[in-house]
Amino acid sequence: MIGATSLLLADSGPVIPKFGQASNCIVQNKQFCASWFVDNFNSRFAPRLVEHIELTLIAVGVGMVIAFTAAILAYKQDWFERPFSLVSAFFYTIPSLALFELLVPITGINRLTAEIGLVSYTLLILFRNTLTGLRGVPPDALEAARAMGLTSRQRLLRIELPLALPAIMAGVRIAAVTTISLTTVAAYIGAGGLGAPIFDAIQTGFKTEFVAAGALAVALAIVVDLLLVLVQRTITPWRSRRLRNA
Amino acid sequence: MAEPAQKTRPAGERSQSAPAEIAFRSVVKRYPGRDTPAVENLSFEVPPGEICVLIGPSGCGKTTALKMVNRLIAITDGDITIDGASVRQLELTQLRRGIGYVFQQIGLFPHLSVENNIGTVPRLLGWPKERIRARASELLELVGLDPSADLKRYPGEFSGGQQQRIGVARAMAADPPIMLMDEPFGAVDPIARDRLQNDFLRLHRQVRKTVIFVTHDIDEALKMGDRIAIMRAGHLVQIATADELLARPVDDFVASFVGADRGLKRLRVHSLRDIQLEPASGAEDSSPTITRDTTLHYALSMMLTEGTTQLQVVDGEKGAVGVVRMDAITKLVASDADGMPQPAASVTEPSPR
Repeated sequence: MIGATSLLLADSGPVIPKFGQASNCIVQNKQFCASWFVDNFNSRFAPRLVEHIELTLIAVGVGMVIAFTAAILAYKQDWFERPFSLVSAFFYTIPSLALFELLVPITGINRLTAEIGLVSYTLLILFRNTLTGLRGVPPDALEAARAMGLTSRQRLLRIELPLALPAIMAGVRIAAVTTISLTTVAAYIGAGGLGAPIFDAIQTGFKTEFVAAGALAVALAIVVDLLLVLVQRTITPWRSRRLRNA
Repeated sequence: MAEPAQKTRPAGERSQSAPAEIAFRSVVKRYPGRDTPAVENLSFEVPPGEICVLIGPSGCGKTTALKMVNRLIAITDGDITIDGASVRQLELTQLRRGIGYVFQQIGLFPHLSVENNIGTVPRLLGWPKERIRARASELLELVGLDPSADLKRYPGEFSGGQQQRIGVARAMAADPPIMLMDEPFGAVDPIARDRLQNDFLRLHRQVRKTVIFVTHDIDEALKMGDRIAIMRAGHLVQIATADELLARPVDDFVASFVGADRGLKRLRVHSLRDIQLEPASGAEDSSPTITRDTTLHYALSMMLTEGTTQLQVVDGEKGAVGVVRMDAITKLVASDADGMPQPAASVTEPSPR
C-alpha cells in the first residue's frame, strides 16, 4: 500500500500505480480491470474479506445475545420494553461515522471500538423482531400449552421461542445485511475489513480497487442473506408445508 | 447425545385410568370491579364416566365454570373436587397434566408434527420415545386418521375437522381420567360437526372418561350429554337428563331454551327400544321395516313419508320382533319423563345441595 502511494506521488503522468507490468486497463484507470482483480485477490482482498466476515459475525452474534436476552425480559416484564427500545433506537439514529468518532477517545482506534458501534446498530432490529415474534405466538397455542401443564419455562423453550423463530430470523437477516454494509465504514477507525481498500481507493482514485471492494461487500451481503434464508427454512420446516387440498 | 437404549414396550399397551368424579361445591367466581359474580354458588356433581354438558346463553358462566376445573381461571370461593381431592390443593402442572383439554380454537402447536403434538404431555411425564410413538399411532387410529401417513405431518396440512380430531387425540394422550371440552366442535361445518359428535360418542363408549362439555347449541347438548346443566347469569337453573329436561323443564327460561319444539326433540333422544312393541299379528307384513336402534324421530318420519301408521321392527339377528304404531310414539312424547321405560341409572335426579 505504501509502495503504491509513493509510486503515485512520484509519477506525474498517469494517476495509477504501475505494479510491474501494468496493463492498458490499469494505465487508463478504467472502471474495472478484471485481470488485476484476479491477480491481487489473494494478497489484497481475501484477508480483508475474512476480516469483514469476522467483524460482522461478532457484531451480529453479540448483538443477538444482548437483544435476545432483552427481548425475553421485555416479553416477561412489560416495563422493560420502553427503556431498552429508547436506548437502542437512540444508537440506531446516530450517524455511524459520528458514533465511531465519539467512541475513539474512550476506547481508542481499534476493533473493539468498531464492534461497540456495530453491535449497537443491530440491537434495535434484533430486539424489535424477537419481541414481535414472541408476542405473535398464537394465543390458542399458548392456552393449550398452559392447559396441558407446561411450566412457563417449558412454554418459552418448546412453544414460544420456536414459534417466534421466523420473526427472529427475519431480524437476523436484516441485521446481518445492515452490518455488512456498515462494517465498511468501520475501516475509518482502523478496524480493517473491505472498507480498508475502499478508503484506499478513495484516496488514490484507483477505480478497480474501489469497485472490487464494493462489489465484494455487496456479494457478501447477498450470499449471507441467502444462507440465512436456507437456515430459516431448515429450522422452520412447518412453514413450507401447507394444506395440500386447501 | 447418547443413543437411547432399545427398550421397546409392548405397543398398544393399555393401562386405562378409571374415570374420576368431579364435584362443584358452592363455587363462586367474582371478577374485581364487577358487581355480579360470573359464577354464583354453583354446585353439582358429574359421576365417573358421564358426559355433563354445560349450556346457557352467552355470558352465563359456563366456560368460566369449565375453566375453573383445571384452574385456567382461579376459583374465588367454594371448591371443585376430583375424586374428593380439591383442585385448589393439587399442584398446578400435575392437575393439568391429568386433565385433557379440548377447545374451539384447537390450539395445536403449528411447529410440531402431529406425533409431537400428541406426545406433548407424555413427554412431560417422561415416557420413552417408542411408547409415545405407539400411543400417538393408537390415538390417531382411534380418532379416524391414518397413523402411517399423518404422524409426521404438521397441523397446517389438515382441515379444521381433522385438526380437532388431532386435538381430541392430544387431549387423551396421557389417558387422563377427565376431559374438559369447551365448544370443541363449534368452529367446524355442520356435516363435519355431526361426524365429530358421533365419533366422540363412540370413542367415549370405548374409553369412558368423565367429561364436562360446554356448548351453546341445545341440539348438541341433547345429543352429547348424559346430563345437561342449564345455566343463566352464573346460576345453575336445572340439571337433568335430556329426556327429563324436555319433558319437565323447571321454568319458562328452560322451556324456551330447549325450544318450543321440545316434543319433537324428545323423539331424537329415544330409540324404538324405549317403546313397548305390539306383537306382530301377521296382517302388517306389507308395512315397511325398521331396525330397533332407530330413533323415534326417524321412525315417525318414515311413517309420514311412507303414508302408514305402523312399522315392522327388526332387531339384528332376532329378526322381526314386533310392530310399532304411531299412537305409541305420540303417547311416549306426551308422557312424563319418569314414565319412561328407561334404565334407571340414566335418569338420576340431581342431588339437591
